[in-house]
Amino acid sequence: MKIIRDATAGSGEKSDCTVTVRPSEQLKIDITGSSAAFFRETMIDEVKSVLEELGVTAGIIKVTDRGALPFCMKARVEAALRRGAEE
Amino acid sequence: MPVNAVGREIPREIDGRKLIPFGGAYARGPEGKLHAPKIPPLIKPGESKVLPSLDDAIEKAGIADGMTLSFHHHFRDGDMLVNMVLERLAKKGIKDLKMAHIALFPVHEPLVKYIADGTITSTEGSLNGPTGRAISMGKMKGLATLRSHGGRVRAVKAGEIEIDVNFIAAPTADTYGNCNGFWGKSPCGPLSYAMIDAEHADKVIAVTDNLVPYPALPFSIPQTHVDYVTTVEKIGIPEKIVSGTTQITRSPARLKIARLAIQLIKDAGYIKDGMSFQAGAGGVSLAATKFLGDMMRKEGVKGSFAMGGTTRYVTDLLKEGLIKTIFDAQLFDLYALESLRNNPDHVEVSSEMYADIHTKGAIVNRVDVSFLGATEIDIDFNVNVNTHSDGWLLHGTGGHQDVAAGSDFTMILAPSFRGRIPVITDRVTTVTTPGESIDAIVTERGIAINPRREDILDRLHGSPLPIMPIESLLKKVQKITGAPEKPEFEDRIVAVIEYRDGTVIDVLRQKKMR
Repeated sequence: MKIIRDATAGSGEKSDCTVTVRPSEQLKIDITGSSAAFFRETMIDEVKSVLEELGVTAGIIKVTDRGALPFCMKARVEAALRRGAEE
Repeated sequence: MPVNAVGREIPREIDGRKLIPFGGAYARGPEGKLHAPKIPPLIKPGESKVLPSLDDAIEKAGIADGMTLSFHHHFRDGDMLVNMVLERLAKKGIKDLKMAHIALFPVHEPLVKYIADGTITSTEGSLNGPTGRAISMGKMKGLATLRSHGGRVRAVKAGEIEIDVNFIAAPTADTYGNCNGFWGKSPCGPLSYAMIDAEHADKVIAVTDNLVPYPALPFSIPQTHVDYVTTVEKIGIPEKIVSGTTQITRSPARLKIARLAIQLIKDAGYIKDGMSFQAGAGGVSLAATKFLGDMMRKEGVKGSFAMGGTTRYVTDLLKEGLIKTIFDAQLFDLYALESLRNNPDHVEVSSEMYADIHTKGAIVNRVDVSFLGATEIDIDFNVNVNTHSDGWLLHGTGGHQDVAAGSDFTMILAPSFRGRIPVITDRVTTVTTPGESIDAIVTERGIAINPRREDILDRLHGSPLPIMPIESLLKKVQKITGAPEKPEFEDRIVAVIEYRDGTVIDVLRQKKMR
């Protein structure tokens, strides 16, 4: 899967997160928000696991967190990726 | 470095101050005599105590570099007096003040710059919000000492805090210094936390926005303690006394916690005639109070007293006759104010009578069940309410240690995680209250009973409640959230967390910035 356009998923509600994806030659994962101080490394691994599953190797992935649990964040990442990818 | 009874390393000394490691909730008895202020100056008949302005009062009190000032916190986030006074002192170039306030709130953010520029160099009170954050960042020259409500009273009585000037934000004051919080345009209810300071400070200034002819009744603070009376436009905003919620929580998880807690009290055998409890504010606590009333009504039980944190839900129980008395040291809404004014069974008590360990018995000792909160709880049942899990100093101790040690059955009501951050953890960031004082932890995912309470565990035998070892609760939570990274700290100690008896239960180091 390849990111060809900017796309977003999620919300700014508590226990959710906003995920933005953008096309890029390189892979960059950016994590900010309430859980970042506690789970940065874990969250990067969780994002990477979704990228791997969907075969995404490049793009800018930005997660702005408000306390999303892992399943929620991973679902938001997947939704953003699917929205930003070619059909 | 010596290790205290909750496994924390406590230095023998910081900046010349000797620290005694915490040894257990009742390990240390009092020594010596009570501290006394100077004998007051002669006040002859016909002399007036009223001064034209706050500036005059500050001048007359002779505030100088290095002095210790105190303020009560009954207006909480609606307080206006602390900022007014500190702004004036900073303008005069006064330095090196020791702030012995009861508690600061987000409204006191202007003090951050006075901490940074050396106007204030140490603090002896609770720090909620921006001032705590500034101290965590290492912006203050000296130390912050955090104490419980009872612990602060003890420290004043023991002379560990010697107050030079006490400012009382007085919703009503008469021309001879009698004060109360019942009446006026800015009522705050009890003046419980001002009482001990007024008794022990060398100079006491009542600042009011409702100056009345002599005498003002009731005199929560009597004329015998007050040097000067002065007026300002407004001392505080009563509507802001409640910084959080006045509504029962609507979160299903939190409602479940409250329901489980009340069923736990019932199954543990505490729903009986003459029962007493500690109530608080905050969504879960309000729900628990309401559900407790429902349970008492259903079981036909009449209680003895509630110790507040007073809200409409507690005053409703008094009105209905489900409890006989409310002891009030802090009110949280206007229903509670109406009740305090009009109901003779709703009485104001000093923070000393409420919570001080070195009295001949505080009210907390008479409490059967209490509902408390927590930022973190660990597998030793230690509770942290002072720092966030990321190590920022953001909250005072309040009555947590006092109520936990005093009440027979102390429950922590808390969600098992907030956002993704676990509340149940292997080791709390900071110990506020020792695990030996905590009897049960009630979360939406299960209840853990402190194994020390074999009597309670026996009584709960056969209860359908989801009771499990704390280790199982921890595992459940970590399975959902994952294990968080631990915060990192510099070497410098910025705050000492005192236990209510004056020993040190933990220290807090400067936060490491990434």
